Amino acid sequence: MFDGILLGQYVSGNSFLYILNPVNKILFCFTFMVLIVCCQSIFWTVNLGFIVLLLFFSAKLPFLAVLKGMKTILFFLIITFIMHIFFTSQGQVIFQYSKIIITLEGLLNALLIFFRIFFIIMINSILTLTTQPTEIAWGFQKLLYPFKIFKFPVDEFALMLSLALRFIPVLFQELGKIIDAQKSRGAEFDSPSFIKKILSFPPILIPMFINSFFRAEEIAMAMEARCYSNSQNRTHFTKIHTGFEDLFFVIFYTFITLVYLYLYYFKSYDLSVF
Amino acid sequence: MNRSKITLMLEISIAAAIAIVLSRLRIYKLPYGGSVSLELFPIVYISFKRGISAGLFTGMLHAILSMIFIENAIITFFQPVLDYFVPSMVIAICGFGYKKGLYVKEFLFFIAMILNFLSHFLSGFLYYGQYASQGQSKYLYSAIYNISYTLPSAIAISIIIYIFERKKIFEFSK
Repeated sequence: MFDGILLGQYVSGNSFLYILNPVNKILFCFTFMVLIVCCQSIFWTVNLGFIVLLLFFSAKLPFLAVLKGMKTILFFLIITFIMHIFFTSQGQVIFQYSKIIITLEGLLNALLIFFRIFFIIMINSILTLTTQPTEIAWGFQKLLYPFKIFKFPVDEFALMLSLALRFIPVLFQELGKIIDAQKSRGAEFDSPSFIKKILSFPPILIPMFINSFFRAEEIAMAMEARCYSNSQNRTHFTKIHTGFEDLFFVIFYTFITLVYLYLYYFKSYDLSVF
Repeated sequence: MNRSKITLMLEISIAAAIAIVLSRLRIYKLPYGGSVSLELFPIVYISFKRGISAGLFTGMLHAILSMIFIENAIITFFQPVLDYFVPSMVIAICGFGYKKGLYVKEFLFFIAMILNFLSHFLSGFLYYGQYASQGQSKYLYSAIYNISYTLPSAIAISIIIYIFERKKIFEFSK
């Protein structure tokens, strides 16, 4: 019933990807994701993917962790792969056995989709394996700053985001305690009946909501007592540094993006099959 | 900044955190990544308690948090908008039921869930649809898959809303 408190995929390490600024990493992921999604040929998808793999293994990241993360989508990936191979009827036939026909087009399509999803997951993993959730939140906060023009309360939102991140582990503990307390009173949570299962939730939810919202009031009082206000620029306890590595990394992926765009759109080599 | 505003901010962040915690407390789990859980209930709760804008912020915060603790892959650029941001933020419609009766609340929740389903459905046939092979209907593929977890979640949450309303927990404050 309870999936445990494993949140995020962060694996500690000390390679260059760990030193980079989170904003930089988010922008890199975004750029590469757009490139791979827009790419319609297997040849260029694999080329881009090769660069991603190079980054991944040069940073000594654990490949096994990616496979674990892929567990939920693996089933989907295999089904689409098989569907595309066996149910595409147009194009050049390369294999035929009674009613099973495999066409070149079907095979290429299946491979393209497989590579696309696989490399996008690899790109996501580069971000989530090397960056702690709080750092990703910090990155998001920096990326939201342009929205200040539309009077979006960026500072308040950033504070709420970091508060929520801090609360998650505490709430997990509290949830565990409430579940144990209710179990000791004889509550049953693993009933196979849908209605009974739902009716077992309010004894967990009600204490949790009431406790947490009491706490909100208390923390607000504590913050007010410490003169919290949003009129000044807020500083951070830990500073995230931006160094030469970031500059090199930006130059690296901008260069690759430009070269790719030049080769793919302006010098369209006749590699359309692949 | 007065205390009521700080309290509101804290309640929003706590509600978003509870949503993430509840997403791990699954009722059932589906193979493609969707799961039947009470994940959306804290957004419903804060909308009924504090109104629409609080609900919208909670939804947005929940979307960003669930993207950070990533479980399902991000496949294209606009897919996260339809898969995370819109579905969580439409729940803020429940804010119209602020200090209203049970039937109004359930009705608003029903409409919010329909919009939530439509957003997942749209994402399903726009982005995952390309992965359905020829001969399979994209619309049916997306609709069946998304109904399979939206409907049980909606039923579960509406039962919880009924219980919370009976015990007068939406009006609860110190």
